[in-house]
This record gives sequence, structure tokens and C-alpha cells, in this order.
Amino acid sequence: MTEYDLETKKALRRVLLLEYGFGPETLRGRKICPACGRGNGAYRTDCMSCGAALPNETLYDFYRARHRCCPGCGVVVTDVAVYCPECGAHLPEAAEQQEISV
Amino acid sequence: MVQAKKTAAYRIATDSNGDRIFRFYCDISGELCCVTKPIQADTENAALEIAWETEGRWAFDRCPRCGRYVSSAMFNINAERCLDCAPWENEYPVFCHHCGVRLKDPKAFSCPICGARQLVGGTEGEEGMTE
Repeated sequence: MTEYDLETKKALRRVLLLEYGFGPETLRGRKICPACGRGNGAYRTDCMSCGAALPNETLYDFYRARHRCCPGCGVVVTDVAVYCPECGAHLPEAAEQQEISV
Repeated sequence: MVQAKKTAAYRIATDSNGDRIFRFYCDISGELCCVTKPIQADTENAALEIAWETEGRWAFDRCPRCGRYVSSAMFNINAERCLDCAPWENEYPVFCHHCGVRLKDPKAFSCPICGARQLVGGTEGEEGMTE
């Protein structure tokens, strides 16, 4: 598979997931209103439904806060990962990272 | 053992006719996923059952591992689990997550060096190794 083919496949997959409301791109593009729970575009500062002020954090930030992340590139990694699959950085132990974030 | 949840988190409002309107929320993010039409029923439980069966459940994905009802944004369709049970994994990893070697074939099912499966599909403590 050439680099071009790989990038095309990745882009198509991203678009497909976004189309059906799944995937990291969907999370990046959404904020949840803390007052009424309505999903809003990440660009908004107030809720389109109730007008309440929206937080700066998107759904992706919320998702990242619940998981172990690579200290190098910031991508979410599984608990069993020893190395980051994106940048190859050696990851701290899951428990060790939890202590750092506390 | 996970207690099976019957519905997603919800709130009830009552309209001027006394009919109940249910608002169903994602169990992880709290996102409002469904607002039902007014439902007439004798009891709250009966109304909830109608609301859930006719409208609510179709707006959610149920995680088979933890039993929670979540929005599509909080569901990993590849692993068929919620994002708390299975975070998103790159379908075309550059490095093996187990031994750190650069992968020549990003579509490889397992690492050619250590044999680790590249898509773990959840975090249940598996080592990601092939059988």
C-alpha cells in the first residue's frame, strides 16, 4: 500500500465515521450543554437550545480525561499499550500515569 | 456482574394535558439524545416503557460489556463497545503498541516481530498477544 493509498483510506474512514456520528472527529466537533444536555457545535459559546454558556472543552476533551494518553503526542491509548501506536513513545505504566495526573 | 440497565438516564416533564414527556440522556456524556412525544399512561412505569420501546432505545447504542446506553459519539463501532470500555484505536497504527517496532504494513493484524494483535478492541487486561 502506497502512502497516498493509506492517506486516502484514512480520510475516507474519517468521513464515513463522521457521517454516522461516530469517531474522534465527531467528538472534536461537539460540546454538550451543562444545563440541558443538548449537543452543540464546538465553535459555539452558548447553547443553541437554552442559551446557557458552553464550556471550552469539547466532547473529545471529556473523552481524553477518562483515558490514558500518550505524553508525547496526546493520543488516547489502551491500558495494555506499552508504546504509543502513533508516535512510538514509551508509555508510563497506567498506575504511574494516574499518579502524575492526580 | 453488571446489572442490566433497562433504559438510558432520563428526566420526565409533564405537559398541560398531564401527559409525560421523557428526555433520554447518554449514560457517559450526559448528552440529550431523545425527547419523546407526550405519552398517556396510567403509571410512570407504563409511560416509561412506552417511551423507551417506541422512541428512546433507537437513539442509543448499548454497550454489551457494561450495559450502559450511550450516544453514537461515545460508542466505538469497531469494537462494538462504549468508549469507556474500548477507546478508539488507530486502524492503521504506525508502531506496535507492545514492542514499539515500526510497522511496515499499517493494515497488519498482528506485529511481525512480537505477534501482538494490533487492535485490542477493549481494555479487559488482555496482553494483545495472539493465541
